[in-house]
Amino acid sequence: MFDDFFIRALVAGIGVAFVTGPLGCFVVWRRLSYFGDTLAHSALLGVTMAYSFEFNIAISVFIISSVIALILIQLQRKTNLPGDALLGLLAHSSLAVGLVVIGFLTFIRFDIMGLLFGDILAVTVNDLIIIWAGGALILLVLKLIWKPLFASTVNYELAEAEGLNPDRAKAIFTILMAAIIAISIKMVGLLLITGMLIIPAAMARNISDNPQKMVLFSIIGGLLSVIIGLFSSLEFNTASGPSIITASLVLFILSLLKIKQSIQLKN
Amino acid sequence: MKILHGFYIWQNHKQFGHLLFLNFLIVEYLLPQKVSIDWTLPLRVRDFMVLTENLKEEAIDEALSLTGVVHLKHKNLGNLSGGEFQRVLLARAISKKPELLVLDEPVQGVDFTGEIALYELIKKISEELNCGILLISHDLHTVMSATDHVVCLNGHVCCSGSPSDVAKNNEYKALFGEQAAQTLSIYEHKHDHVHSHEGEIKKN
Repeated sequence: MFDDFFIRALVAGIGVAFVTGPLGCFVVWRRLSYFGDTLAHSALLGVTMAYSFEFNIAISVFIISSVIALILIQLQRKTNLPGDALLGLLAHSSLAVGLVVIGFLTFIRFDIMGLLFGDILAVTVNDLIIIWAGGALILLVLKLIWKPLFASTVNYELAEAEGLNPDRAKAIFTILMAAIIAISIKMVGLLLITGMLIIPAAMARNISDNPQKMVLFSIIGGLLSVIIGLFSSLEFNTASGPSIITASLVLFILSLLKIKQSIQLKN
Repeated sequence: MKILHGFYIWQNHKQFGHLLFLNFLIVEYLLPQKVSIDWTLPLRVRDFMVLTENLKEEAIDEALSLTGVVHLKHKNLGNLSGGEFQRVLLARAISKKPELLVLDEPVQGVDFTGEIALYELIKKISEELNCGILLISHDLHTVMSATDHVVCLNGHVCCSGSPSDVAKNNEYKALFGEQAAQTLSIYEHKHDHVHSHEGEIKKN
């Protein structure tokens, strides 16, 4: 059944949406959208490394993104620069270095557009295994660190005073971010991965009043975006990543209507 | 407070389990000063109660009703007033069934009438749960009128004892002035028994 490229893309996209839902909620809650962007930009460097050393793309991206996250933490300790300046520095320099390295690799023909915006034609059965196995692992780890991570998102001191370990949860969460970028890069493309994390979660925030509901709606929003996006990508022959993100934007706009309605009810 | 708390943590790390202090088993709960919540989170009071511990529904209701905010259970945390939020924080502390409740300036950001109600609530909690309260406050009126034992800190332990003893202390008078010492109402703790060195109660 996975012979058809479209079925493969659909299964891959659904797998990605299950993971970006809950992770995206934390990105919104912890204000990490620019951090996600930085990791995603550094993924290009990971892809070039994978081509240079004939290595698996997902694993290579995961390693490079984790290294970038570690460098960020070190820079935050050693310099007096504000966090967003450091993020910008790492995001653009890793993107630039990645593009320069591509220039040197003249013996390989790159589909740059595919890398930046996603390419459903490129999804192989092997990728499906990585997405579903990796995704299941990410969700399992997230479930294990949920309590300390969520409690410290609400209030760091409170979580610490009540015997949880917020710093460890934060470090593990950073690794999970690198992992989700690694498994979803082929699907959405590295410029739009953060959109896939944030927009469904932002939509979910508009229509939910408690954290569990928000995670659930975020997953549903992601699934709908992937399904609608991929079908329209097939229909109108547009790139898969932008189509998925546009679909999630439409859902976000629809969720705004619900806010308007509830405000009118209050008055 | 940090010192006491640090000592407790140190004891825990050293596998002492609970801090044994004056023959009482103390399970301490420290309420951090100025708890600020990120209001972008969709969080109800109920979700906040079970943040770090799985509580039964009855336990949540019990703690919330003791602090008089059970009607806010399904309200969004971001819509509470300062006083209501402090009560929810106290309910969280109570639900952990502490034997010593450490409160650091618990009435911050609460208006005057709310302040009085909150202090009365703290008193009620100490009576109903039979737990000790260690209160850090700069509010002399409260300190001198509602406590059993005062430790006055000014870089060092300036003086300590019952409120009436402290008020008579020369260092205290020097610190706050003679007038302050006289105008404050003092709470006299009625003691109809004495404690032996082993902690037993002997009737007078």
